[in-house]
Amino acid sequence: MIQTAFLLAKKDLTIILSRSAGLCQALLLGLLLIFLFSLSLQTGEVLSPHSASTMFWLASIFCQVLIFQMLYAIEEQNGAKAGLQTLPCPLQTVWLGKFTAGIFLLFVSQLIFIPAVFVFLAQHLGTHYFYSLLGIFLTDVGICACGSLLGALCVGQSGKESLLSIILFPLLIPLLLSAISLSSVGLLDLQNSFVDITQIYQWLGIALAFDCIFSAVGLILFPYLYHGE
Amino acid sequence: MNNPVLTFENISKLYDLRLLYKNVSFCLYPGQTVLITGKNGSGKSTLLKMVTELTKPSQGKITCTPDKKEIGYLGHQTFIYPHLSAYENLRFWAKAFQKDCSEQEITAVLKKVFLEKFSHDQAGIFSRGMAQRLNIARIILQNPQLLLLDEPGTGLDKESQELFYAVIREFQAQKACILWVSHNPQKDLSYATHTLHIEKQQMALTAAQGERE
Repeated sequence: MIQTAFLLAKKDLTIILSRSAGLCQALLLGLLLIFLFSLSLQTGEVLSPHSASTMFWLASIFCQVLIFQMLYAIEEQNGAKAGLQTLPCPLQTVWLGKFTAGIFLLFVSQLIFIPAVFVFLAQHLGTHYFYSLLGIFLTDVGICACGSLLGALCVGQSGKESLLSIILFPLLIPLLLSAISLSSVGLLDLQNSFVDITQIYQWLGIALAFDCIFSAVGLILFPYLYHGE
Repeated sequence: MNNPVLTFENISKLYDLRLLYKNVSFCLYPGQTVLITGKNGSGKSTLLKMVTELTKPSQGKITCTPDKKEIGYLGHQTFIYPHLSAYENLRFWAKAFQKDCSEQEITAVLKKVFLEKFSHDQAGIFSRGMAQRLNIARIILQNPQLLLLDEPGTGLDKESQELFYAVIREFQAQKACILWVSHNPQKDLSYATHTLHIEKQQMALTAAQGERE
């Protein structure tokens, strides 16, 4: 199952990186959000790390929705989805394959969003950036587990149903709260330099718990969603 | 006689609140080529989809002796990724069906379906006939014991049709069981050992003319 999932992920990455247009759209949307928000700042005004971190995650979430719509749209051409359903492995393999490709593409996008946050939102690196990196990783796992499930639901539907991905946002609120808090500790706060390490571990615990919940729900529900029966 | 490749036991199927079959039972054996006939909407394609688990029977049990990787499905949809080359498409599907194919084997199959010149071209530029030949190449590499054909000849030119019939003869020689929904049953009947006629929610499996003689 894992071998086939990696095979699927490799195929998806080959397709997306070779045509690149889809990924560029997602990246531009994220960058545009960060840039437009930077226009609201007065000259010399410094944004709090919490606000900058919120903008980073807003860009990441919108990018993630586009990434998973793109990944599942690949299977809609020439009935490839039916081909995947006939493979000699559980349907969860498709979920895992899309999750792997999705998390890779999201990491690549965030490698571009992070410098954009420093440049456009005038942020500086703090001393606890290791926790922020760990927080980004754990949050990406959670949002990609959820995105891989809901991406399957939205692709190939009419315009009305394609808005179903909006339900992703309320589901992600607890995970995003921890993500924003963890990301902000990695940024230098000029007004309040105190960092509560116990609280950081609590946020990391919440992120890990939601990763487990979203992964379990994804693995259980995916076959019903993707099969459509 | 050999063990059955495919067994339908008391199968009933409701499709959009319409009863397609009611308590249908039959067995298929290796080497049989079964042409499925019936009116439009009688459930010919649904029968194949039930075997591949693309849809489930409403009642009853379907038993397939071969492993899922030994069940091939060739329909009018080609499963081709337009942004991958012909070679990459074949390599992906072969690996996904757990077939360990070398580069030489894939190239040889591409040559067999007259696509060796286009092996590194993106499949998105292929005509309908070329795409279906690539689809046939996928099935040749998979080399299934149970082959399900859902009107695969639709839109094929004469050369591609000849290739398709040659491939069918090869599978017949290997004693594969073939379940075939055809858009041209009069022509394809000469390849069949049996016909499975669907009418009034029932199925009748009979030996074809040549077999009876």
